[in-house]
Amino acid sequence: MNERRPKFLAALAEQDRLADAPRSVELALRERVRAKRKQEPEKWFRWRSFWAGAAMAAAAAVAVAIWLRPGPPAQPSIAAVAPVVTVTGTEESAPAVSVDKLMAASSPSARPASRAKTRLPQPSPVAGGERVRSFYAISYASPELLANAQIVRVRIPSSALVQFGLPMSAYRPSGGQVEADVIYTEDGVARAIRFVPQEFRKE
Amino acid sequence: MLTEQQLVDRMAGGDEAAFEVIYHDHQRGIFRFSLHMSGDHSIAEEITQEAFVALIERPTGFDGARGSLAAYLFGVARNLLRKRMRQDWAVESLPDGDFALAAEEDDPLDAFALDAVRAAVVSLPPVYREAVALCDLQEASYDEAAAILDCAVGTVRSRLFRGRKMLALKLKGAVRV
Repeated sequence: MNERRPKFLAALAEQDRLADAPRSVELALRERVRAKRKQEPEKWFRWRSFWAGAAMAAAAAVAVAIWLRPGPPAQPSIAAVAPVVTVTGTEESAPAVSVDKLMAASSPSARPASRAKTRLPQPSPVAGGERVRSFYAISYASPELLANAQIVRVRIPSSALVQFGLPMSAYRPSGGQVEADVIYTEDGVARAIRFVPQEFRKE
Repeated sequence: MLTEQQLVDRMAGGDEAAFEVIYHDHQRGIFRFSLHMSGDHSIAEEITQEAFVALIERPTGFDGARGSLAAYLFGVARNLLRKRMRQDWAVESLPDGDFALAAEEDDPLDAFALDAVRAAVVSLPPVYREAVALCDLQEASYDEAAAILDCAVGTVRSRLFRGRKMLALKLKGAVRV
């Protein structure tokens, strides 16, 4: 290809044959390569951090999604429990309930029946002569919790009577509602309920 | 024996030995090409450095399957020169005889005459200058030059022929053509 190359070009090529870039160029470039080597672990660490962060964010998102997942429709606390109680007396006015039965009938956190034989606090007769009835268990509570329980009088839909297997006629609800005493423990959970018949209600 | 692609990959990861191999294989060609194209040592130095920096910083720009590393580096240098000398590329070739020197036909070329030749080469229009720089001064094959210049081999031949002819006219009476 160079057979026809003019001699003056051949002479110039010969003169520049050993022309090199100055050493400073090589040194500067070498420095860049070294900098690259230092960057590589940092880059790797950055990517590792990124993926770790992304994994944590994904895990958090899954946890929140599970937490926010709509559960089964909320049931009234009374309807949620179908306590099996033993009515110790035939009189409607004073059914006694033992705690071991209550525990067996209540929530999944119920403990073995052999744990205690304590009786639920039997509320004393209310001032004004209102007759007392025994409580129906809603959920298990330890004796310690029950020691500081409070009784609250509430009005609830009369359909709750049916769920507890009680005759509506005996309670004669007014306006579709019936009065009841609910035992709340310190943790704010309803533990037991008793219904107040019409004739015993304080007007 | 590592391939050029493997060398570049290693260099990108900070392997100085790989850089050394690449640099020593190609720096002279890039520097000389830049020097012949610009006629200026400092520009040639800058272009050489920038071409290798481009390779170090953006190694993915080189694809061993598409061409040789030399062709890639020459291509980068060519683009850098084009940007750097945008004004120069528009300059028309100087009139013939501008480089005429008092020299006998059979005299060997002295340094002064060689400077005249270098100046004449730089004054060529870019397309002819590239062909002359690559084929006559770098001693690249037509195929290599065609790959670097991204044109047909025939185009390289014709540009080279025309460049030589223009140089002969410019240097008429100055040196033995």
